Amino acid sequence: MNTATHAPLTGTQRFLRAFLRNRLAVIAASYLVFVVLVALFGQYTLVHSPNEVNLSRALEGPSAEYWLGTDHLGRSTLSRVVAASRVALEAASLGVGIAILLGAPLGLVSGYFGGWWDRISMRIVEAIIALPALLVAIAIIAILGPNLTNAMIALGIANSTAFFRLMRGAALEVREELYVDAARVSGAAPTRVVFGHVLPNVTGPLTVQTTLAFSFVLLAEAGLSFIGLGVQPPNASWGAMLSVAQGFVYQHPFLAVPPGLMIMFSVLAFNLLGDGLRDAWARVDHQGEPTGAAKRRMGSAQQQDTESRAQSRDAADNAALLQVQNLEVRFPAPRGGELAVVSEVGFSVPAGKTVGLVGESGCGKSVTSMAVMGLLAEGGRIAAGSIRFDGEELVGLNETQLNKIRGAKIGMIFQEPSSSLNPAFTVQNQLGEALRVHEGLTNRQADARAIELMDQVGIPGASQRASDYPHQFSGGMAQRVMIAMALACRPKLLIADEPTTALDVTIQGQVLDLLSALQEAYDMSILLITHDLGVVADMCDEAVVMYAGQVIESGDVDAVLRSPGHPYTAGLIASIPQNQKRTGKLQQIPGRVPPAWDWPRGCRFFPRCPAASAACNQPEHIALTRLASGQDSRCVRATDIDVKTLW
Amino acid sequence: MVRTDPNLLQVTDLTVQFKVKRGLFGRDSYTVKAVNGVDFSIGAGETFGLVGESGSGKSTIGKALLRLVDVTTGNILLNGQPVQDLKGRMLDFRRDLQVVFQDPYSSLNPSMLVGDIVGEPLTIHYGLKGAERDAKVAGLLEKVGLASDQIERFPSEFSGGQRQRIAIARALALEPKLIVCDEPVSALDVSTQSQVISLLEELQENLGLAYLFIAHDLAVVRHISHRIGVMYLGQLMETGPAERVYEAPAHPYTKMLLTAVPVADPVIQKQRKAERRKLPVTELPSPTNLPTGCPFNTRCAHAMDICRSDAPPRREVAGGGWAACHLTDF
Amino acid sequence: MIQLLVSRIIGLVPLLLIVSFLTFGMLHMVPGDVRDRILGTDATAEQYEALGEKLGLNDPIVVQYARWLFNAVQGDLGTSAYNSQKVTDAVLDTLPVTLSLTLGGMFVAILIGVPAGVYAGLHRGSYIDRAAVLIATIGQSLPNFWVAMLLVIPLGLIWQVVPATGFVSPSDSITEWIKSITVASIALGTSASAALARQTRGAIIDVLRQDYIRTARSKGLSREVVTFKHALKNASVPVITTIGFQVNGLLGGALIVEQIFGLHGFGSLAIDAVRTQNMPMMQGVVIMGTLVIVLVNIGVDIAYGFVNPKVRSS
Repeated sequence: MNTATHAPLTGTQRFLRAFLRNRLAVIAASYLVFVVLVALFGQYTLVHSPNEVNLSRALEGPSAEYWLGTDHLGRSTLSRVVAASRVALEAASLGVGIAILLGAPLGLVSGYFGGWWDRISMRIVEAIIALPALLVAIAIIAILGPNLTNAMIALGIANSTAFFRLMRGAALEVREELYVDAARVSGAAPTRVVFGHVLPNVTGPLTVQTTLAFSFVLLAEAGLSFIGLGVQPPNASWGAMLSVAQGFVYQHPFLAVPPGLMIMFSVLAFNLLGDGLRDAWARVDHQGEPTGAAKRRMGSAQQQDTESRAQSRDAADNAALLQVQNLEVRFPAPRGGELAVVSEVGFSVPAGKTVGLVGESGCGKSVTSMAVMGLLAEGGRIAAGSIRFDGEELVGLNETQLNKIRGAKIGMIFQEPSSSLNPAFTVQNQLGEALRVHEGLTNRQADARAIELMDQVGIPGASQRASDYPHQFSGGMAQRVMIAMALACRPKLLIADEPTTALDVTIQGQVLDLLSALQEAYDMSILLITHDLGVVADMCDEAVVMYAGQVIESGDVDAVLRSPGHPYTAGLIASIPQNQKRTGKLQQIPGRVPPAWDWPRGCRFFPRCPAASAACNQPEHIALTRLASGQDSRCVRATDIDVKTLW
Repeated sequence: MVRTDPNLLQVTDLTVQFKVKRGLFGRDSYTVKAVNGVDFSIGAGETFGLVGESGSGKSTIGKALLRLVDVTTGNILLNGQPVQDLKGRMLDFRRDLQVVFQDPYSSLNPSMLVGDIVGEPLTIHYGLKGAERDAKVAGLLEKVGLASDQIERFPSEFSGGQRQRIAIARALALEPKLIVCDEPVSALDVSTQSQVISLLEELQENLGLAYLFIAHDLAVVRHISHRIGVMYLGQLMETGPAERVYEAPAHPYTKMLLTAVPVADPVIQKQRKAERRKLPVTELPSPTNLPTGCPFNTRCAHAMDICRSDAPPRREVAGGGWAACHLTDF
Repeated sequence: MIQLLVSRIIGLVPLLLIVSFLTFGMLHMVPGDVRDRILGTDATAEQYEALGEKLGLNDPIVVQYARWLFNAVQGDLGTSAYNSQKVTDAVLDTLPVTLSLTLGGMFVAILIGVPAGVYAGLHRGSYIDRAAVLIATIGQSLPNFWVAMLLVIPLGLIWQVVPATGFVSPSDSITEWIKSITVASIALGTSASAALARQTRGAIIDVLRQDYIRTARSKGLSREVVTFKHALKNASVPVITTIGFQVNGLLGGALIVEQIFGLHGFGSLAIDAVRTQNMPMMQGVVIMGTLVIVLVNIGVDIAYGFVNPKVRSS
């Protein structure tokens, strides 16, 4: 099953790999290490002590003796900057340490357990957030006296709310994960759940927040010292140095440069480090990259596609409303290069008919439909083939030309009706948009038409509901709104991508019936994309079965479903549990659908096929053959075996 | 098949309510009755299928059995012992009752290795660690059809079907008597679905497991279940032997569900569709404002006045089980 | 909408009570006695006692707080510990400066941050986008008082296009008021705009991935309509939230930056109060600062309600 043989990388290794690829973050991390070293050991390398006054050399620019010049008392700016870096890091560590120790555990507990403890904590946190952080720090200094430690305690408390909220949010999110429920069912005690399951999954955001807290505290420390409430003279601090520089800003502006740059670079380094960590974590969470061997196979598969394209056959059917021929769609591969996720796809949709595009997830059926609309996801492109719609070639049209067809001549509805409607606008507004754009209706006309449309798709009380927002509709009603929207301009073709998959079965029937009724009324064609063979049987005149980016069988729906011509189609039908009673074993197709970089040569279904023979992976390319029962099948053995009795 | 204990699990008059707090000072709070007076039992080695649409409360029942949500009223007895009161017997209870969830992506901790995921119950209950634990985990993985050398892999390296096998291995680790299967195959593709169902059936045969199989897909439930309960808006509408419920549904809602599922034969399905298109368009009532009388009365083609005022009695059905309907024939 | 506003304002009451009690309690834990500093070391026991009576220091802290609160709700935040100046007057005198700078900084942040973020988000991966992200990261790392110093040299001192110091009230002259806070607002707004630009960029990228954008495109809407109608309004939800969070930082920045421009705002008042241990004054500033933050946030909430129908209808 899992064929990879090399030892898998641990989470930490993958994280390091991803992090080291980010040059800016690595530079930032190295810079921070350097600053820490300077803060720890820099004082031993200095020629002048930071507090060594030499009034005769006051306010000098950079020189061989004073690399960064001197201040108004003739003290070496370099020495003071070095001494100040220690102060800054100590202060920041104290502030951040308090913030984490106070905020993180409380947030974790509050988020995971909830209840009254959570409500009280949230009230307190809201109060602290509303407090002006810097003013409170100043107030605490007023009580305890001007002193950096006190200031940092104040800032730590203020900043702990960020950690509290972060950890609480993360814990709330993780708590909803089923693996936490599973751990509880396994008998795990709350402490085990929190530290074993919740904490490891929030370390990513926690480290990122820590770097951000460092930059916040560094800036705040500089600010407090600048107004004289942090580090007290004669001790050096970047903020206090800027305060001195301000007094001489006209005479000797250079004095403001070294401490200012030190603050900026240190804060910048923490910010860049935070960004790098965030990106690296995100990449660890998002895996499933092809292995080296699989990538090589992928390369050769692409070659085959190009070679075979010339031989592929697709009967030209000029009467068809939509005709797709030899379509190849490529996407960027996870590790460079391109991957043909759909190749040699051809089918046609006759006027007034419904064609089902069927297959399991990853077979390329949705990509094909999006290619027809010219709406491939970012990075995807049509590498070859033709899409003719109503006598017009769609491949190669620009955005403006496509916009004249989309919504006007081809409408589309999607799987998730609630997320496919814009939450920020009323349904009336969204329903009228296509009419305003394509038919030039005024706002008032469009609004009136919108209500008519809602009425036509069976939304009760259409005129009252028109000004509602999408979140006020149930899933079934939202899909009706989507249908009304797609059909607003009476398109000749409706593309329905899994239109009922997210709906309950009784609502599914209602939506399918609505589509059929509208099809009869408007005489339109439907391209129905679905994984459900029952829906195909319900709606379609013709069926196109896809597997691993290819059409493996297509033809009249009766022929395809009642006497399948490809072992995969037959296997799919046989695996539907509904056709089997409790007695007798459920038929199953072994193995799993291979990912796009792992498609076998020859027949792509060959490794899972019970009828596989040596002939199946011999040819580089297998063409569609017309069978006696009328449909096309991409199986070399379709004529010499009885496909129906295979499973 | 061994069926020594006819009543491994007994659920009586189970009710689960959630309070939803809204508005300033909770003025607009309301109560949702997710589960409302449900009774059923499961014998050892038996599969009880619980079917229903979204909002029917079927998953809440599973969570109540697993003690992941609190029971408002009613009784749950496992091995004759009340599940709501488990002082000191919590771990024993966990050993008898395990779970397989719907979403194999969310149900496996992404930061843990497969060995740790499957082995965690063994560590918690028996203190197994290291090689001893890994040996047991390897055995469990083989039992569910995975290679035993995949202990040191992360869940992200597996496909949906394989992940569901891992989840099943974890559930098997404590050798439970009953496994709650909460929509275990609805996130999977058809070809993978049948693999997982077959695995569950095999394990039942070999280990004498009992399942509470929760699903919205009636076809899947029919295949795996001995007996079935049909849920609607928190209540059981009908129960009975799987074949009887399918061949002779005794509740209008069961019938509606059965006709709604499209079958993969175009000739048969087109006839069914013609039937279906005659039905009026109905919508699920809001869970906060349930109808009085029979909960199904707003969508039932046979609804009478009594259906809107009186809760229907449970009447025995020939062939086993009962249906909660005022009508005996429709 | 009005309900939302009312509930937010009602919610203010307990918040201000908590805040005022916390600051009151905290500031009364000061080691040493205010009387030592007012009377000096050679005061008699009678003088000491009399002053304590006058200041109400002999009562339990809860009674002192209740008295303070009773006066505060009538607009009297007490009297300075040193002279007869009313805290309310001092705070209200300095409020225009702090409010001007906070809102000015916010204005600059939105003016630069939002368009930059939208542009970068729409052209993700382009050179301009990458440059914008880098500039924003650097901008976020600049201490605003340093920026203020660097800006005041050319603008205020060399070219003298704006006054280098001093505040003009908007009731005296709107143009002079704008001039007097321009440089400070830019300095304050720089890092805030950088943070805002990054947030906006992220929000735009996130929204462009949503299903409803695909729907809008499938209707044949032009790129402009898809972007400026469908994407922008949804992206503004997280952006407005970010603006709300920035108010606190902007107010803090204003306290420091006012020093550079010789503006007399909350910052000067607070620093003075620290140096002279003037606790009633300190408390007044903290309470007013809280009020400013909370009121600006209510404004933000109202804006939020306009772009998010879910908030409006619930």
